[in-house]
Amino acid sequence: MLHNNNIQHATAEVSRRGVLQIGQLAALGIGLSQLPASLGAGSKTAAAKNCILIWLDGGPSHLETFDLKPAAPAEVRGPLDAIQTSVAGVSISECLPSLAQRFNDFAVIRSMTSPLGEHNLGAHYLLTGYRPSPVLQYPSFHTVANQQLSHMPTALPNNIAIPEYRVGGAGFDGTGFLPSRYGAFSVGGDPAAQDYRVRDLIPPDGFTLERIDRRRSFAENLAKLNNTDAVLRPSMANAFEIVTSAEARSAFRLDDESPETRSRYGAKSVGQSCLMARRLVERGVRFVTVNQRGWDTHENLYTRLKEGYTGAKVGVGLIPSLDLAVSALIDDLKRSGLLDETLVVVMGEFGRTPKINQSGGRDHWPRVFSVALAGGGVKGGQVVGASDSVGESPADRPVTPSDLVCTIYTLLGLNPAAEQQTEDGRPVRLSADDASVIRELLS
Amino acid sequence: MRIMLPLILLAFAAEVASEVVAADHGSPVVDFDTQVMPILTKAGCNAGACHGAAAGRGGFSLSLYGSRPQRDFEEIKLALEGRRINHRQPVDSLLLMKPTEQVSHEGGTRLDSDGPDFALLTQWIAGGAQRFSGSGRRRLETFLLQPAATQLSVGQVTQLSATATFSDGAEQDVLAWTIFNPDDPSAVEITNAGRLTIHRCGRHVVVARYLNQVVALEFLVPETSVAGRTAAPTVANTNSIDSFIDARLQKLGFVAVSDATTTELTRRLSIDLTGRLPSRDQVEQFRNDASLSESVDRLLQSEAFIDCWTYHLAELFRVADMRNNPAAARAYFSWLRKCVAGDVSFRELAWQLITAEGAVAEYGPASFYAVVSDPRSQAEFFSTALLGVRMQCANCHDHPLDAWTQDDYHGLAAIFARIQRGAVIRSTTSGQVIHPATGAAAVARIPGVDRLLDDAHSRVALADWLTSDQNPYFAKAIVNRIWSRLMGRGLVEPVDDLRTTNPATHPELLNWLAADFVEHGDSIRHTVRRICLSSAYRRSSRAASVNSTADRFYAIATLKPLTPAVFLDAVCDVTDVPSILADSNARAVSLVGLIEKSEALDLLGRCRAVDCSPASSGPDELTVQLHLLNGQLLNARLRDPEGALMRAVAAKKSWPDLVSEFYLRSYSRHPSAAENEFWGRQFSAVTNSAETTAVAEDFLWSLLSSEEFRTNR
Repeated sequence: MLHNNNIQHATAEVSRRGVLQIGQLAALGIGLSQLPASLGAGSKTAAAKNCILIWLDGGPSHLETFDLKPAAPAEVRGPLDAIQTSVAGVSISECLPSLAQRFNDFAVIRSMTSPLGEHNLGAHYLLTGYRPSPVLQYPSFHTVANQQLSHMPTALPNNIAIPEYRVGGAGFDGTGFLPSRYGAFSVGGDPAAQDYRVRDLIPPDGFTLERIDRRRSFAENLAKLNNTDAVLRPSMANAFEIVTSAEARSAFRLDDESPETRSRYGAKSVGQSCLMARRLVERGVRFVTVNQRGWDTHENLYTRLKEGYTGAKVGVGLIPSLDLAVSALIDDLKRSGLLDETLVVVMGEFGRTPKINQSGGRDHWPRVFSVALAGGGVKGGQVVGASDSVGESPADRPVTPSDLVCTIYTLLGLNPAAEQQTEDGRPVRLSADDASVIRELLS
Repeated sequence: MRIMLPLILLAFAAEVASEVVAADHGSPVVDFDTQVMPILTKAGCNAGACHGAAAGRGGFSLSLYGSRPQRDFEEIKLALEGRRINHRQPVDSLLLMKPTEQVSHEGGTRLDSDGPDFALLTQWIAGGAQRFSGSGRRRLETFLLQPAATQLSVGQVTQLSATATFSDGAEQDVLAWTIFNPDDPSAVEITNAGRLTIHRCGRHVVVARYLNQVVALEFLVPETSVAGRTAAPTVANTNSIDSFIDARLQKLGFVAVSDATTTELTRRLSIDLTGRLPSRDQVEQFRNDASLSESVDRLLQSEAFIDCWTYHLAELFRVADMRNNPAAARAYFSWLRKCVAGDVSFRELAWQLITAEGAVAEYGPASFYAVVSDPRSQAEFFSTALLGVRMQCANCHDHPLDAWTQDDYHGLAAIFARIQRGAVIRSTTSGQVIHPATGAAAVARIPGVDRLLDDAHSRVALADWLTSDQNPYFAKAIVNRIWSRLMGRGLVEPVDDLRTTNPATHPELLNWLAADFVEHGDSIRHTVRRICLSSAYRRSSRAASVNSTADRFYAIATLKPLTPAVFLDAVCDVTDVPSILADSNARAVSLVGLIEKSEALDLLGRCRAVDCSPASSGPDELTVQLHLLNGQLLNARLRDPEGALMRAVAAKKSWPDLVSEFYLRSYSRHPSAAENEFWGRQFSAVTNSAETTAVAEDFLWSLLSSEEFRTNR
């Protein structure tokens, strides 16, 4: 048990061997579940209540975002420069100036490592902490946490995706073996669009609340008449709840925010989505996924990541828009006192190849990549681990997606060794049994 | 001079000694392919996470799971200026020092320096680190993996044995170098010594790997609660499908439920065979049919059957991806429809697709080559659609879970590189793909077949191979898909992932169905009929208390949600308000439903992804529910003055007649006494016509959004 502590603290020396040894502990019959409870519950600070995942769909290049290599050869270092952050000795992408100023709030892991370089597989691993298996569909950490933790008193669904949950290709819906009602509700459309509305929240013309209630009653009775045990499908019950709660519906109205606020988040979809995420968390929604797509940059790094369109004077590409969106989100969460209880995770399914390819882009690279975290009790202003001089492999402190998800559960106050049951009575731990908490992240 | 001679002789002797087979060292020669390679695999050196990765690791690159011994031999012996091998002091070889962590090794300790594998490697190096060539090379002939028993119960232990025979006549126990991978490690536990313990009941698969052999073992562990229960008497079955299914149920201790009711079967067959709800006339006909085969045959002869199964084939062959070229999409779809209408032999259909040439706007099958834009995507499309095999892994390395190699993948792509795409599809003499391992043009080749192709006729040769009696995948792939449509789940799942390491739940049944299909002229209709007339198909989906995995073995029928297109058509049929697709009154189960814009279909989950499969995630349920509640899909149709509901209300139909009519339309049955009593109370509580109208709308709304309507049970 104490071995675990030692390995975690000796960051300079821990290598892949350290990670393997934890597995050996398990082989000796000493699993995470037998570790002292304090290790599971973690830190001195209270557990985070909410989690906002900003998913960078497609696999964001670590070499253009959080792990720049200005001293590497030209074919590796890429078109972007590194800039200093508010923390001495740490620099990140020139396209993330607002985040750089706020780096004291962020922890960046630069030594994430995974063997899975395909979108669906990589996304599954990052979002569930488990590698895909033919035997079992695993649920995402948001779905698990949704099922495990109590729901705030609101008619809003507790797990929401903006705009859609289509992560890592179309193959993963995040519900896994848990009932689908715990999965994410996708609001649809583009929050940055003019007159944006979440579809189908308002009943047809002339419908009174009484009428909606009657439909509900008919549906319930019909189900029972058919089968005395039957109740309404949970999603149908949820639909009725949202529709009859004016407060719930108003959560999605971005028009209620001032133009100044809206422009602070940036005019792109990711910005307005982060704004909506903030509104939802303020109203009691615990789990939100913002899905920013387009990071699968096999070609044209400079245009897609920085410029946005060829020849742009002010970059409006993926990275500058992410910068505006996340900074505004952090600022507002801080202002309303929600940052300490809201974990913000920024990541994608893998990194990208150190050598730039013939189309001026980078291909898939899961062997080392970066993940950024803020809020929710995470100790900010630090970098955990490191990649080698060309951003190819972890040089120090490799961290697996299992470890990351295990840490997220810990931050949310869940015990990673706790077990859930599948439909056919199979016990499944929240976290894989060779996962360990990234102690550096806990305050 | 005299001094020099001995020195030269010594040097020469040393040279010769290292080339000579080390018989005079007293120990047998260690063979590279059959003794060194298994060690590298067992120790995990050539796994995908380590040196077997496409880019290698730490500057040392091996072929994934040892698929290429020559390349690995060169990498070990010759690369890095030969520094991995130390002939003078074998134990100082990098090859031995790294895995025992005498020098730092990111991969940790992989070999025990006191163990037999270390000794064998040392011996190999001491013997000159040879790899013999040509006929001198020792080859694996057979690999036999056997558990002492396959029918085990929970808690039982059995010993696995692995024996290999080689070209030099040797027979050896190779358990120590066999890697076991249970699909479900918590259900099946296997120690390094091959001792296997069962922890949970059900069907479990274990994949074992030795050298280039990958095999799958299956274990059937019956439900403990039925231990000792006498098996149900086996009825003599003329339908072999049931004999296979019932045999498995018996082995697993599941008891089949009784048949579904006539009403349920009427609705089920109608949806499965025609993609539509049965009309009231059809419900009557069913009731009067002398036998189920009469009902089935009637449906098989209908136009609606042709529409429905053309739609299925159109999804398989990606007609939807031709949406930007409506003329081509139309030609492609009508050609498929002609094939279904004429019950054209499926191998004839496939042959024509592969050898197609011509203008896509005129000749339907040519669109097979217009759906994707490059040879590799074509290879993957060909493979999933017609072989039921996912070959994409073999793009970057030999497929780790089956026999497909990189040469197969790029060889297949090379065949498709000789095609000119555009408005007209034709064969060309130029066009190539670069094989990533050689950097040169890949040689055209039929997957899994050694002989290389004569380029002029490569597509014909491919088509011949695909449709030949010897092809083990073709018939199985299509019958598995047909089975999946009708039974809710393929015998192999996913349906485009046939491989030795993903065995069917009922392997003999799959073989039988495939053989039966071929014997009857590759007729889709024939196989559909076979399946629909089985007991397994007829089973009820209602269960008192049944193990939740019983439906995987067909003890109980699977609930199949109505697909988006079928659901939309069903709603339109019940309400008599057609969908507005392409400004026509086209049904959704049609070409129009595949290629036209439709917010309704998209919201219901119509798949727009490139590789659409039933498993692709659609919209979440809450989105669908909100749309059913507030959207126009149902509401506009309920209120439409020309729709069936408003017409019935305007005609002042009595509530019992109204309720009865819409129950028949939606559920193909009459309301029960309790249901009538409930609806009676609702309609009697309102007096004026506006309120009656509202109650009627909400009544039909609740039927159309109910589980019973939305599911094929």
